[in-house]
Amino acid sequence: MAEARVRVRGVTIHRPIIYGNTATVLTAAERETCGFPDHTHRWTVAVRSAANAPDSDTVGGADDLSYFIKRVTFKLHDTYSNPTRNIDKPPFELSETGWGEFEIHIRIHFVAESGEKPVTLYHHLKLHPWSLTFQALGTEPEIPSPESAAKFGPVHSWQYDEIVFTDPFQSFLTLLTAHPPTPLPRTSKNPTPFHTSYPASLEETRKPGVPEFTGAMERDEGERLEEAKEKIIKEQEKWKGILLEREKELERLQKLLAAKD
Amino acid sequence: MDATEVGRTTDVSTEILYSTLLEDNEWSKEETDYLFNIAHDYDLRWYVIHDRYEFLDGPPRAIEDLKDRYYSCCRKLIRSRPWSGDEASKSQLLNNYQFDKEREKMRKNYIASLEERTQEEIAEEEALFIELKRLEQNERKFRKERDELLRTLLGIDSGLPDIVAEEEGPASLSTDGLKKKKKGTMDLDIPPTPTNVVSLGPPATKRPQSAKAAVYDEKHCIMRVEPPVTATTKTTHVPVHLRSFKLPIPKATIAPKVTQALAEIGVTHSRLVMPTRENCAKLESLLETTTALIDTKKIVDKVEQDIRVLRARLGLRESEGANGDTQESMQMMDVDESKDGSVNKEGEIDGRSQSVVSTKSGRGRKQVRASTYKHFCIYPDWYEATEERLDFQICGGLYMYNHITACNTSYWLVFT
Repeated sequence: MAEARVRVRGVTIHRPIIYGNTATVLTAAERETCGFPDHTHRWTVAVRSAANAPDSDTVGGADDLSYFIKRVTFKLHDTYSNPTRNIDKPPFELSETGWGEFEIHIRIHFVAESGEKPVTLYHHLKLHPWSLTFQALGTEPEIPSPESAAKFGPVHSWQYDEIVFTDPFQSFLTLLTAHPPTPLPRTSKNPTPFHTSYPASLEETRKPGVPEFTGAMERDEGERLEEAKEKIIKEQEKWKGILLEREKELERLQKLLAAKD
Repeated sequence: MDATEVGRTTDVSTEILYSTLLEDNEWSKEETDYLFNIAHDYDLRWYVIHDRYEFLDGPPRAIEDLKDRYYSCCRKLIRSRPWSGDEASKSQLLNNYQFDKEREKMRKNYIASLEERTQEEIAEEEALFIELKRLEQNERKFRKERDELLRTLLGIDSGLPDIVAEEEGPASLSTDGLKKKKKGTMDLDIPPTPTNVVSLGPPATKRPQSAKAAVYDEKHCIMRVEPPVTATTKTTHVPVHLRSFKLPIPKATIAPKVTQALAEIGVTHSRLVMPTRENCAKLESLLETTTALIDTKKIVDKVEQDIRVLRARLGLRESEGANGDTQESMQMMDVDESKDGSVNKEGEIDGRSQSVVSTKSGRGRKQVRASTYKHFCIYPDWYEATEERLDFQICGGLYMYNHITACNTSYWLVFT
């Protein structure tokens, strides 16, 4: 089918995803049975569709992404046995136990129709609750005792993103449009997922319930960016005024100097 | 932005603004103000404005003069002001205020001359036009026959396409068709007049689409743009990526300053919570604005540096012969050592005391060792280029004093 291999020019199509992890503190009984006495947490790292499924206790995952994702590879810390784990079936997620935070390499492979190479992204495995006391770069985060950490409930660390296909093949475009993503709810009663770029939301993220990505989050961020721009523009106006004054002064001095010569 | 709003500045520095931007030999400031007021009063209805225009002792103004002055001022103001929208909307706005006096005059003359044609002239033109059409028709007919002949004789070897499209028959020569034709050509002949009318929105980059299609695209997260003229090959194809991979980043040279400026107002630009297309675009525009702000600050610093140099020179002039005053000029020159305004005060004071002290000690020695010093002239360009080096030199002991040479230039002296 030669026609199917034709690229549709001038079209970009994206799919909203989230990637990240959820972590819970192991109970004493679980610690004994998991086989590694030093492991303190159970965590699940995943790549999911952005919207939450109704009445589900997972973040995201309303849609099955296997129509365009063939495989997700999670590369764990080298201390894990066979650290490279391939997940070829949905859900594209992996559960493990452990005691430390580290960077997970996530590689997303697309179905053959897409004609695209895999993309790699990085996620810092988050085990300990978010706090506002930010650690300085390069220092170890403060680790709360398992008991106090357990009180916060599961720890969530998720990043929203969009996978963008440019000029897709006709066949792939048809495949994608056969699976429209579940739109994000405009608002939600559920807590907002925490993000380091918006630390002010910490309180909001601590509400009970499953964190959920919403359209409101996008709008809020858009507003924050616009407000910031307004501030910068005000500042710019101020400095333009200063510049005009200074230039005037410079001119005055130049004239003064010329007059003396 | 309201058309008249542009011109109605309430800026405290109106005077300065006027003298730096809007100075014009033909126009006094008073008359410009009068023009903007009357333009506002009559809501840019130029014929009314021209009719009522009565400026005391002013030279007579044609309507084009008024428009030209008004629109050129507006353009200058738009260019000079910080712009809250993106570049596209700025140039769009600038386009709205485009006005070409000469062209406008030419256009009016042309219309006038069209209007003044006599009956005979009109008849002659039409006759000529019909003649031209006939010639073209003959030419086409001839070519068609020739092609057909070739095709019959040579077949595929003739290299001719199979079908020759014949767009016009003799019917188009009816008087009705002629009239239409004529209108069309007339429109083409007139130079396109620059639009002074606010057009509807920015030039559409999206393909026009129905509301239904828009809903469909939104549902499937499709974004359509005009495909580029050149065909994308395998190498130029934009591969699949995450939206956040293409987050805008500030230029490396000013990145720390941008990050700092944004951190002050609580924005992290390296990551977004929701990196959607809209938010990425907003971030990009925020970064552009911030870059512009930092550029402005840089210019201010340069100008301040120039002022310092000039002050020092002026101070020197006054004190020539009177040694007692030299110290004062030294003080003036190093009042502010900061290059970007963000150097902390402590460093500044340190630098000052250091340089003053060293000036004294340096002056004693200058007769002996001046030739072993490296001389650096303070040119803004040089200053910019070697900012870092200068920093280092301050740490390593930079000694400043005024060296009066034949050209009366201030130097920085560095012990080597």
